[in-house]
Amino acid sequence: MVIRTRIVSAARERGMTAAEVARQLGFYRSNFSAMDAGSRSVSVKTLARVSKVLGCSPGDLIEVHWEPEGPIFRNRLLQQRMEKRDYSTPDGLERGWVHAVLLAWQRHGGFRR
Amino acid sequence: MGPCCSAGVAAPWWVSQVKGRLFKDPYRAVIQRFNRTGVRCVVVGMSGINYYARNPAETFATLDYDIFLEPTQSNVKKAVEGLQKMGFQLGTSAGTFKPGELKQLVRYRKTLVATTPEGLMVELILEVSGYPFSEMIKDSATFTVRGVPVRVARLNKLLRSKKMAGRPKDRRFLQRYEDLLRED
Repeated sequence: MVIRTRIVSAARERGMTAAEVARQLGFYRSNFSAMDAGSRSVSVKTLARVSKVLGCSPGDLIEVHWEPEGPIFRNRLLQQRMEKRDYSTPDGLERGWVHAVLLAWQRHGGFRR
Repeated sequence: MGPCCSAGVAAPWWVSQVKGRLFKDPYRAVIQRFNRTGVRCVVVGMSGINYYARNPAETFATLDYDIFLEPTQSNVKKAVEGLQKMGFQLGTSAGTFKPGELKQLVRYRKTLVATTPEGLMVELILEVSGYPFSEMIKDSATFTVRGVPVRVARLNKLLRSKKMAGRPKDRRFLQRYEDLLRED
């Protein structure tokens, strides 16, 4: 999980520059870049101050990326094959046989009957 | 499980729905019940990964069926009531589940295990490694099992969750999955 702010883009959306916001609050512009990159932590108090200047809620300035960085498999070909498998399944694909197999595994592997 | 029970013996709750089939399908019945009662859930774990197999030879052996429930009291309550009506017995790691424990169960994200006297097991999970429920369900795939839609978390999230859990059995599984992809 990666937590980042989006102060620079939020300022731009409101017709301001990050440098203007920084000046009003007594920050360096580079502080915002580091916060947006996730390399510098930011306090709730700071977020509240920035959100006040931008006229938004502090929550609007936070982005949480649940997807961890980097591939699952080191081998690029295997990673591609996994992704292809993942996204080549059309919605509604019939998979009744999967249940049959799962039940068979249970019966053979540990079904207490 | 084998074919349907012989005449004169009380049939389990799921038999009537799938009479005449080689395998009775209690998993389908559970999902159907959840869909009908509006339980928000997504299939995860090894059972979820198996939906992405292209043929039975590509499936992995697992003894339980993992269902990730949205961890809210109302949602878990609906799921619990549904399973109890179907004849499942519910338990937690601390023993038999009691209705008064629901709040604590949700608060501490404990796992519920639903079993039948025949030994069938469905795990109701309220937390998985790496992802909250909202992330698991938002881009989930929808498969169908004889007309019943089954929502299954994305393969890459299921595998990543295993990677993040990092237990020895998960590492061994990922190694086996790599082998499967090599043969692809």
